[in-house]
Amino acid sequence: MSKVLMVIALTPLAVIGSIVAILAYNTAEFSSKVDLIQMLSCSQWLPEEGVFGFLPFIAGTAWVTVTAMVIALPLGLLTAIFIAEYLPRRAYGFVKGLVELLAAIPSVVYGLWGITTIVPIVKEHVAPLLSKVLGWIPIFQVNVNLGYSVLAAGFVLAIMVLPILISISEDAISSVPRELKEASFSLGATKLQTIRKVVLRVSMPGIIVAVILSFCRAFGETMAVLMVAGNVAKVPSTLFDPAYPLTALIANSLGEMFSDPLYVSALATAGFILFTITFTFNVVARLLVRRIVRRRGLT
Amino acid sequence: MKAKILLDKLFKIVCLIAAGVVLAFLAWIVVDITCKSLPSLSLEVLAELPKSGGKAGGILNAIVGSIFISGLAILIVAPISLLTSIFIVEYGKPKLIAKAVSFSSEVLAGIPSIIFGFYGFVVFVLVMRFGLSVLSGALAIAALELPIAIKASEEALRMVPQSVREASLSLGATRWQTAIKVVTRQALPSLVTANLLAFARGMGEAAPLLFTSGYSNFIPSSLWSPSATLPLAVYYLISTPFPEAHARAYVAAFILIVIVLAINWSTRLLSRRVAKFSVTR
Repeated sequence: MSKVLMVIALTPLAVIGSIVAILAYNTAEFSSKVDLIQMLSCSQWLPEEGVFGFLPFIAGTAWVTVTAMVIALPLGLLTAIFIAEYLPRRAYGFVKGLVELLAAIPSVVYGLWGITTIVPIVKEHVAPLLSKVLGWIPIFQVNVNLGYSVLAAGFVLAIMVLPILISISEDAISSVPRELKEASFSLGATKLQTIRKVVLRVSMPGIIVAVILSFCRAFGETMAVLMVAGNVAKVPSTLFDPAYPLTALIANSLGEMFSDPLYVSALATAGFILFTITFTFNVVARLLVRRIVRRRGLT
Repeated sequence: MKAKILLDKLFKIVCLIAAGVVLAFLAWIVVDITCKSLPSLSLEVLAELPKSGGKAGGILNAIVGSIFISGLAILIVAPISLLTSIFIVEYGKPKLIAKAVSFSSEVLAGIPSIIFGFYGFVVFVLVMRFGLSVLSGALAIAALELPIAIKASEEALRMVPQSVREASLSLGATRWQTAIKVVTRQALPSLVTANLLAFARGMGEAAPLLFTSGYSNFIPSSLWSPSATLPLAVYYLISTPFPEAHARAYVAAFILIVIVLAINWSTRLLSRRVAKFSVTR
């Protein structure tokens, strides 16, 4: 029986193995036909002519993900601190449950909200206002004002990752032993000092995991960015330029690619880039946490 | 000293504002979708097939398609995830393989969903020749749900106290009998929860289905026919220029939210019940 069980248990290994094999094989195939390094830094995307420059898509992914994290991190961490440290116990269960429930809302719903609400707001209010006030900073200038932009996609992604970010980092913060906080208070530290010097330090491994997981979620998200990023294959230079992230590229091109093997392998290469980066971040997160835990003698 | 206390108060207010902003935005999404879908929500929209390209009729095709694809996916995932978690938790030998399986399902859980779409398209649609169909879609969704269900089932099995296993083994039960008749039965409510959560997750995914399930305005008649799902309906209907179709996209999104939140809510109630009655040491 245990043999049969073992064979069945190999399913996830087989799935991940075949995914990596397909992506890696196609990437190898792709780099044997074109110069991969050159393609990674080329900004022309002309599949019919065999030119597959990934730069606009890599840049699109980077712009959108960084924007999302810049918006989500302060909001999410402050909210987690509020829920864990300041919220009255009576409201705690309700608010925490609500946040976890909201994490289950499908990404296509966020995309729909983004198209019909955020994109028009960015176009009509945010872009004119920010460019007027902060226009002297290059990233706030407006070249084309469509609404479908780095900012809109980053914002929708930020709202989308907030529930996960808050939920995991709140778990970490509220698992800090009460005695540590009381020791800090008894030495005359204020609540803010205790949070900064005790609570956040002790819960840092959990917070790092929360940040990395939400980063990976934002980075690999497809539907929401596909719907609001604008999908123009050009390296964005400001927050109001449209972007075309890697995930959206795969989603938009899958239908037209299968007549051309080179196109298939180009998209697999895009997939391989996505996979490698999320994989690296996941592994780094885990090693980092293990190291911090060991160094501090925390369990 | 005064400055310190002032700073302390200020920080509390900043945190309060942040939490308020976050909850306001999340509430905005739910309220926005609800308000924009309610005017066009009717029995006709829920119970009829689309007419003239989504401009009239309903979204029954997407509702039924979602149930078919997610249902088939969880039927594939449930036994595999149970047996895999039994292997990891109850057997755990050979250690290297158990670790590799555990690690691989964690890696799988971190993969962007569009990669499952690419994988499903290449493997199920092109290589296995299942075509753009319910089957291809369900398999792609199953690949995505698998690590989620395994992780949660693993946790469910680990919650069962060791003494229960020891009691069973000491009565002469084999490891397999103990795993199936004692541990699985004891963990059953949490295992159901695990699969329900995976089901809800699969229900909301569109990216793996973009090029595996196809899209159809009819109810799929077999495993081999293409099918719409609710998330796909939201995406395609909002991409059309017609306001009537947009209204139906909202209804599809609303139904999707209701189903997904209802499943998540009921699993909370379920697990609270279990916590109340289960054996503790």
